[in-house]
Amino acid sequence: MRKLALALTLCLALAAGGGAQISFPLAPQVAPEDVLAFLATLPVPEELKEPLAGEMLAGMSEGRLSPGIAMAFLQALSQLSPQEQAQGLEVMLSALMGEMIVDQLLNEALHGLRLASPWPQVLNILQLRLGLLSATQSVLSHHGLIPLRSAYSEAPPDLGCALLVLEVAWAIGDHLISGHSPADAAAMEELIHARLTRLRGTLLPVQLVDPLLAQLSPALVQEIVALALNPERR
Amino acid sequence: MVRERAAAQERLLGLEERVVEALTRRQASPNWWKRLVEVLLAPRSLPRLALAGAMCFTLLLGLGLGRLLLPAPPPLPELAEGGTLFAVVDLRAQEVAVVGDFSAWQPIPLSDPDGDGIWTAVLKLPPGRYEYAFLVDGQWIGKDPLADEYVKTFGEYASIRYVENGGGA
Repeated sequence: MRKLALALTLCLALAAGGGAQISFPLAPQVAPEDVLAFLATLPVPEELKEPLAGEMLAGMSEGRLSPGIAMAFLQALSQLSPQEQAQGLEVMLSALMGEMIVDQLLNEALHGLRLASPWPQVLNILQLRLGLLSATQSVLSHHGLIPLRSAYSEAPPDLGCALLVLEVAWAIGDHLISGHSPADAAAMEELIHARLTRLRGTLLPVQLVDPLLAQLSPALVQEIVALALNPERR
Repeated sequence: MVRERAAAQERLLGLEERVVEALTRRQASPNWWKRLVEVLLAPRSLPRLALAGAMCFTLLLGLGLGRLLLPAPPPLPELAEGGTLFAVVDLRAQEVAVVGDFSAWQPIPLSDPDGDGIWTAVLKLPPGRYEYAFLVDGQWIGKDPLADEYVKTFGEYASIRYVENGGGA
């Protein structure tokens, strides 16, 4: 009888072991209105909040800004001083006005804050990333690798182009932030090449990646880095 | 006395041949399978046989029902096909989470339901390049052996995973 009970227990244990796979929600689902409502509560000047609200709404509708990430960023910023909050929001506004994908930038700030990095260090990295995004956009459009956008264009920005800019800028940024030399253009070119090849056809459109891979050179990378580190050249 | 000795001698006569014959019979006896059948078919073995059969039947029934009612836990490579597998092996950990740009760097708990020290979570991620790290009892673990590459930001390493075709790493 005891053996029978043991066998039954074993059966139940084996059967119960079935549901080990658990799925988790990723970035929190938030409505754009809730993000804007939270922005309104931050103690920063209205002259900053007003244009930012408009740009955020456009960014969220165009897929350049995820409401969940924006909310997490604003909530993290709200723990800082009003001056620091304004600095963070200014970076966000510049990226949105530049028609860039902003999620990665905000995630970088959240990454730094998660590691309890001091705000000036987080801000420095954000500004470097922003400068690289802007420089990459300029250089790639100058070389005809992405279309040149008119300042008066009403059409939403091409997300494929914005993604290409993001990945190139991020690869260069990873190299620089890790402490490697900005003069080592060959290493950065290799990094960009590997990343674009890996993302070609999945995240990045082939028709955008292939012309860039064909033209990618240390000189092109150096041009981006020089423009990012010396913005007055722009 | 004399008669007893004579009888004993009679019994000893041919003893050697009888022993050799007995040993030969034993070697030629049925193999283990036939003996098992004999033992099982012996009347005193039947209750034990019935109990063992009932136990086997119950075990198979339990397994069958388990398979039908709940999906069996797939091995790790199969888990990864349903999404991107994040795993940490730590026998002493009390709490393990993954943080990354897929969750706005908010912790997503890993689970270890059977307590074998293998903590896992399977996340369904769209194609892309993801940066992440593990928090093991609050401690930052930036280098995941399953990662494609690593980056160093804010003085700490983070792991990178490329996800292709929506979930599979």
